[in-house]
Amino acid sequence: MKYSILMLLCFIGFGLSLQAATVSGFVSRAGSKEPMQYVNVRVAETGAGMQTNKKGYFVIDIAQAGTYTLELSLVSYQSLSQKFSISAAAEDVHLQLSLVEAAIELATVRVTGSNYEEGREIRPSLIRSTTEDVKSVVSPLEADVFRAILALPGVAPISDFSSGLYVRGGSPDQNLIMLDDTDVYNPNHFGGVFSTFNADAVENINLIKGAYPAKYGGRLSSVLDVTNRQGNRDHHQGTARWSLISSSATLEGPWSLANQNGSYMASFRRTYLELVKAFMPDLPDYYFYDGHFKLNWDISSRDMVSTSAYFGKDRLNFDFGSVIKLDWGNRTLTTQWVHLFSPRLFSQFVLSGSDFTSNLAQISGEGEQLFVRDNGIEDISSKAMLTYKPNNQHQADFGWEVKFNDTWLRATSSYQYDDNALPDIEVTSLTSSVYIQDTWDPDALWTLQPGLRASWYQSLHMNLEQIPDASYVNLDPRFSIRRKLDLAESVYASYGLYHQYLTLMAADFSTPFDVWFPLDGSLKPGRSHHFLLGYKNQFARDFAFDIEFYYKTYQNILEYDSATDFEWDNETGQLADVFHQGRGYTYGTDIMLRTYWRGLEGFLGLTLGKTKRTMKDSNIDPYTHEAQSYYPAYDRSYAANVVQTFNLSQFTGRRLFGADFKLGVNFALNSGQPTDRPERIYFDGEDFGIIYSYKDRDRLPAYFRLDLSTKYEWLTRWGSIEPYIEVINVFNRKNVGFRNYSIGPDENGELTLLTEDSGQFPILPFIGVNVKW
Amino acid sequence: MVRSIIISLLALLLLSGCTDFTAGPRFKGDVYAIAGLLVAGKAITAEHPVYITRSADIQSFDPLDLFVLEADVEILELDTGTSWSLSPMLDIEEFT
Repeated sequence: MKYSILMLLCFIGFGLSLQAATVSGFVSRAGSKEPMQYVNVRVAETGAGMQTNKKGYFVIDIAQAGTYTLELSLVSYQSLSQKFSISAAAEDVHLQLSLVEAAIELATVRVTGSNYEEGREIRPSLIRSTTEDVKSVVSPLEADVFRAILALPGVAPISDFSSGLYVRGGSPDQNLIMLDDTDVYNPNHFGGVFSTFNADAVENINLIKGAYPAKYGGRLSSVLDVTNRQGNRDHHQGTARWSLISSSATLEGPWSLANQNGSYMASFRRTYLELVKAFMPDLPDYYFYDGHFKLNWDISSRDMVSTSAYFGKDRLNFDFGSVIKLDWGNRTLTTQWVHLFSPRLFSQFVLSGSDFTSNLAQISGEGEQLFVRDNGIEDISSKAMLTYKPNNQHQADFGWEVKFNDTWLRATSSYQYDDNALPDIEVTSLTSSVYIQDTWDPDALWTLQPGLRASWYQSLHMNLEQIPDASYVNLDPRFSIRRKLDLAESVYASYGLYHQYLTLMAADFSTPFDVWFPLDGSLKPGRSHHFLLGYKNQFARDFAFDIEFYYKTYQNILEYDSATDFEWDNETGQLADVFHQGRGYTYGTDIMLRTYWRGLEGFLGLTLGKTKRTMKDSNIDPYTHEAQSYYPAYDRSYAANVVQTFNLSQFTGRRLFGADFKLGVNFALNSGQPTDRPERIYFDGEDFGIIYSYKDRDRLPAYFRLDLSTKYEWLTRWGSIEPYIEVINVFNRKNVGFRNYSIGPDENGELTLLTEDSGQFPILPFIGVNVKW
Repeated sequence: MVRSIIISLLALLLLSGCTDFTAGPRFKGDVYAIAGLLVAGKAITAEHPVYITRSADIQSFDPLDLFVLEADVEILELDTGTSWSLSPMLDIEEFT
C-alpha cells in the first residue's frame, strides 16, 4: 500500500515540474448557455485534447507560441473550430465557447464528432445519458430516469412496480445515488410507475456500473450521478406536460441584478389520482408531488455559485375499517462553489444536506392511533473536488468529503406490545474520506490511472447503551490501464476496492419503507473487489460497440432478516441481531451496440451473468445445518434490450403533415428470476402447510415486454406541441412478478397444490401532450 | 490477439449462460414434520393431539397418506428423565 501511495505522488510530482502556456475555457450550449459535459476539445496542430468536465471546463497545454485551431465536437451538435494565438510561454488563453445543436435537416448535413470518444480519463463501466436519451425510452405515463437506466445492460429490474436498481449483482442499497453531488436515499415513488426525478429538470445522468474512480466511495456496487439542469441563460422558457393522472411544469431563464447575472430553473410535478378516484373508486387513495429548483450565480469567469434543492412527498392511505396512513419523501439542499485557482487548478466545493423520512400510522375508526412507526436518515456533507492539470500528460484529481449521518427508527402502539420489542433506536455517525488519482499518458497509446481513497468511519451517538461503538479505517486502491488499438478502438482493465458503512433493512425488494442504518460495532463494513476487462470500438461513424467482462467479490454483505419483522430488543439488541451476514460474487459480461444513424438512435444491449450469495443462517441445508449459496432474486442469466427511437423526419429530411414523427421501441427479454417452490407439506392441526425448497430451486418464466410509442412534434412560432401515444406491453404478455403457492381443493374438490401468479404491467395505452414555449 | 481473447471469453459466458441456474432439491426421501399446540395442564390426547406427518412428493399427494400411523412416539421429560410412549391414531372422520 505504501508503495502505491509513493508511486502516485511520484507521478503527480513529475508533472508538477513542467510549465507551458494553456488554452482553457467553458463550453456551453448555444441558445441556452448551459454547460456541456463530454465535449471533445482538441488542438488540431498538436493533437492534444480532452473532454469537458461536468461544468463544461477544459484546459490544454500549448508548448510553443503560435496560432492554433481549437476543434470542438459532440454528436448531434455542429462541430466548431476556433482560432487562437499564444504569444508568451506562460500565457493563458481563456475562451467561452458554444456549440449549436444540429437541426432537423441532419439527414443532409454531415455531423462530425462522436458521443463515444473516450477522452483522456479512463471511465470504465460508465454509461452517460442526457435528458433526451431518457425521454426516448418508452415509459408508462412519463419519461422516467430510472426506467431508462433499468433498460441498460447490467442493470436488472426486479419488478415493473419497483424502481430499485440491481446493478451487476449488487442490491439497491449498494448504489450511490447522487443528485447535484448530494446523496439521495430511497428515491422512489409508489409503485415504481413515476420517475423519481422529473426528467425535464435533469441535465444528464451518469451510471458507473463498477470499478468507479477514487472520487466515489461508500457503496459496493455502482454510482448513479444525476445533475440538475442549470436553466436557460439566454431567454425564459417553459415546458408543461399533461396526462390523465399527472401534470408538470418547468420554468427556466436568465436573471440579472445590477451587474450580476445567472440563471434559474424550477420544476414542479403533482399527480391527481384522488380526483380520478371519484370516477374509479378502485384506485388507491394516493398522490405525490415533487420539485427541483436551481439558482446559478455567475460571479465572474473564475467563480460560479449555485444552489439547488429537491423535495418529494408521497402520501398513501388504505381504509379497511381502520386506516393505514403512509407517507415518505426526500429533500436535498446543495450549495456549490466552482472556483478556478488558476487555469490548471479547477475546484468545486459542495455543502449539502439531505434527508429521507418515512412514516406509517394505523388509525382506528374512532380516530385512535393504534400503531405509529417513524423512520428517517439525515445527511449533512461537505466535500471538495479539485483537478490539477500540470501538463498534457498528467491530470491529478483529489479532494475530501466529510459526511454526518443521523438515523432513527421508532415505533409506538396501543396494542399489547412489550415496549422493549418496539424499536426505539437512533444512531449517528461520521464518515471522512480523502482521495487522489492521477491520469497519466506515458505515450500516445497508453494511459494509466492509479488512485487511492482513504476513509475513516466512526459511530458517534447511540441512544441505547448496549450498542457497541464502531470505528473503521480503510484504504481503497483503484487502478485502470488502457491501450489504444486505433483512433476509436481501445482495450482497458480496471481494479478497485470498495467499502460500505451504511446498510439497509430491506425486504426482498426495494420499498420506501426500507430503513437505512450506519453500522454499529457488531457489524463489519461491506467490502468488494471489482475486476474489469473492457473493449470499445467505434467501427463506423454512427455505430459503436462496447463489451465489458466483470468479476466482483463481496464480503460482509448484509441481508435483512425478515423473520425479525422490524422488532427490536431495546435492552440487548444490536444491529447484528436483525441481519444475515455473508459473502458473494458476481461475474458476467455486458455488450452494447450504440447507434446514431440517420434518425435511428439508441442501443442494443445484452447481458450474460451469474450472481451468488451465501448468507449466515439463511437458506439452510436441513441435514448439515450449513448455509447454502444461492442465486438471489435479482440474478439474471441473460438479459437483452433494444431501445431505439426512429425519427422519420430526420431520416427523410421531411416533416409529416408539418410535424416531426418519431417512433419509439423498447424491447426487453430477461431470464426468469430465481425463486423457491414447495417441496413437502405438513399438517399443523388446522391447515396443510408448505415446506419450501432452497431460495433458488426454480425460476419464474422469462420476462418479455415490448413497448411502443409515437410522437408528433409541431413547431410553432412560440414553441412546440407534442401529442403522443404509448402502448406498454403491446402483446399483453402475462409476465410473472411473484408466484404464490397454497394447498386447497381443485375443481373436483380434492386437495392439491395451487399456484397464483402476481402479475406485472398488462397492456397499457397512454395518451398525453407536451407543450414547450 | 485482443479480439481472440474477447471472443473466447464471450463464448465461455454464452455457454454458461445457456444453463438454467437453479439449486438442487433441498430434501431427500421422506420428510417428517411434527406440529401441535401444547396446553399447560392438558395431556396429549386425541382432543389435544400432536400431528406427525410425512411427505415425499408435493406434486401428487394424498392427504391421508401424510399421517404416520406406524410411528413409535416416545415423550421424554428433560427435567426428570421420565419417558412414556404414545400410540399414533388417525380419526378419519375429522378429515372427510
